[in-house]
Amino acid sequence: MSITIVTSDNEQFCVEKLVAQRIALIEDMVENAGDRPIPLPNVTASVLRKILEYCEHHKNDPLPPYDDGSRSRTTHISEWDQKFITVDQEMLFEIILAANYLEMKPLLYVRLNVPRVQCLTACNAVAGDIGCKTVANMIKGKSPEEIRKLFNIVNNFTPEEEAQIRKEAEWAEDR
Amino acid sequence: MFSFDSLPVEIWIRILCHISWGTLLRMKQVSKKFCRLIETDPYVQYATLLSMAGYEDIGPHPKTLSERIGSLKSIESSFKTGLFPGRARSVVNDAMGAYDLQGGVYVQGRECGEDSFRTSKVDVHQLPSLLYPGASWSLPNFAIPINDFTLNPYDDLLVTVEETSHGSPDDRSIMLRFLSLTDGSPHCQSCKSVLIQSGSRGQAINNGFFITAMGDFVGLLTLRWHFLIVNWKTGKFYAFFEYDARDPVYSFFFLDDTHFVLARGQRTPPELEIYQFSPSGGNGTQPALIAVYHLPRMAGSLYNIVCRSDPPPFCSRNDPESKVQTRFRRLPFHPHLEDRAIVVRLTVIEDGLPIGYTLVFRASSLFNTHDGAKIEERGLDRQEIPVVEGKCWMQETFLSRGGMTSNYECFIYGSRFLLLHSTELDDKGKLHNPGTRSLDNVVTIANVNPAMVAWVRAQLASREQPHEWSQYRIIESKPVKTYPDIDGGWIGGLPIALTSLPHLTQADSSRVVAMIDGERLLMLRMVKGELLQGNPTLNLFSWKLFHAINRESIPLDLTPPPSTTGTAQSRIVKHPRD
Repeated sequence: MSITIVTSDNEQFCVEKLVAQRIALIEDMVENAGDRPIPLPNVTASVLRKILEYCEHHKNDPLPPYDDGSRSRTTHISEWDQKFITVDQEMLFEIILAANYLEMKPLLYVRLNVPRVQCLTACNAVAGDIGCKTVANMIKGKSPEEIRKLFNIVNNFTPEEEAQIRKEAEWAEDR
Repeated sequence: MFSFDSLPVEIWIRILCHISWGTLLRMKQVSKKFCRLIETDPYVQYATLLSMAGYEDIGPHPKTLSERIGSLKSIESSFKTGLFPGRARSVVNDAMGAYDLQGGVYVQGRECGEDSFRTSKVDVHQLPSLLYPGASWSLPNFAIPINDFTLNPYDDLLVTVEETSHGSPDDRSIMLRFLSLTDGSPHCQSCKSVLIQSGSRGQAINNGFFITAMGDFVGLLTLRWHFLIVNWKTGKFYAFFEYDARDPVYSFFFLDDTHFVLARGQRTPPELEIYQFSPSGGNGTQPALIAVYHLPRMAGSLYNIVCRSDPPPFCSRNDPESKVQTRFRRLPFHPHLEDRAIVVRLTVIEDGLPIGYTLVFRASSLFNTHDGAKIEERGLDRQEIPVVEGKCWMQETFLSRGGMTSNYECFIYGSRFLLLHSTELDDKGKLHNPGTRSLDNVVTIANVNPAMVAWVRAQLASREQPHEWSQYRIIESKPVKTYPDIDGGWIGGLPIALTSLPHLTQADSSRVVAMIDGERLLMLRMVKGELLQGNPTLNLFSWKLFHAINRESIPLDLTPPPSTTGTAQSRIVKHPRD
């Protein structure tokens, strides 16, 4: 069985249900949509293609266990995933955003009063998690100036403020 | 135009949760937004506090995020200052040597009759905690007196060791029983009991046991006689080594739920062997030797090796669904597997006197693959095994001559461990030889968690005035020229953060055993009796008093710390790297 998804740039994707079920948002929408195509107004075709590629590869994996992010400080990414996520920064950015959007179930969490730590898990955005790890890996070992440059961030500290924080970080060694 | 800066905050929080503590500190300098996020967001804060404590979250738990943050802060503060929110004293009945503290439960054997090595009764003290009120109860008499025990409160498990002889002293066997810690009855999930025949080699093995429970597995080392790992639920054996007089096992510990370590003391140099066993295996499958680590070779003759590494109190690979509901609850976090401290005490006879050496390292050292390891044919099937010589991993170890752990057991919880030392550290961080001074029983908490060490360094370096972190010192066993009496010049480079709790010092000269777990210090003060030097397995103690310093809100009777300690201890001991 397959379902049809329409992206923001009006491209139609015919997706195997097993694959689509990896995406929480779509899983929710399938129930209500019946046979109609599912619109994803926040996701472009190029990004969806990427995310479906991920879901296709991982369709038989067990669902990820509880993970609040703070547990696994490891930023290890498997070989296939690593290859998958080797994209330009803009695509990485889009994947993270789209994965975040597709996996969010904010209403559910409010209703169940689940602490957010656990929400992050449940919505464990498949591609998003790798995306976040990839960004974390990009940050690793970089100086504050390099991080600013990498992400186009403006330094809005006064020199005094910056000096104070720098002092604190002096001994911090990376692991 | 995309900008990572514009990612929603919740995504940044997820990214920051993947970032190590050291990078987070640098990240704070990037912009005000990140600084605020890292300092105030509870998820990032929780991740940071966990990293500093060397803990990880265990998963779903009734405690909310803000309660978890509160607990971590309060635990950290207590271990830093020694000012615990509560302090309780109670008297322990006449007791024999076997005692243990795991996960807030202290179990003490009680003496029976003339055979002071064994006990027919144990008392269980559930110490008051953040999570539950305290309680004490006695388990009914054991039919046969037990020699030793271990416990795992999270599984409601008490494992007892009985040594029985059937008429003749040559015909001995050991029985392991798996009981409920709540009432002493056979554990409902267990295989009831395991009997180990001593075989034809039956000999007096009344000299002690090392027994540890970890998850579904129980490891037992009858001193140098044999070693086994058994699944207490199924009764299946996962490892079984017979005694070999030429190559005895001096000590063992679990590295995680599939790895264990044996200390081989008769080899030159002495070695730690890392074995892997398959939890899905069982009777008949022997564990595989996967690596060998050299220990320092001493000039004197090695008398004993005792390794201590408390098993992770909750091993994440266990199936949480299958747990029986017990009255014992765990904290919402548990020590990070790789940052746990492992303490190895080597006793060497020099000029006829026993001298202790203490080697400390993190569990991660034994997980690492080391460049420069030699490949040798070892093990039953002569497989190619990496042999890590001292020089390959010295930089990950701390070595000191002296009785850092003057008691034969050094209690560890995660990356923290207790030094109850009768020795003093000089300006070079060198420990003086014990025995030359009278006991002063200063309780020192040592921490090998790298995030904590870096944090302490940052705090000590960036502030001039005495402050809350002034209690700490950082020591490294480096570079005391090399110990002339240790072959190969073992000089470990692992830094350790130390904080002494001077106001816990006992003025009298009674022996104190201090224990630690996730929430508390527990001190056992011996009123009469004697610690027999030399043989670490003879514990003819008679404990009259124990007081648990724990986290319950009962009235304090702590005297405030002397105000002078700040100046004396606010220095960092730095060593040039030779």
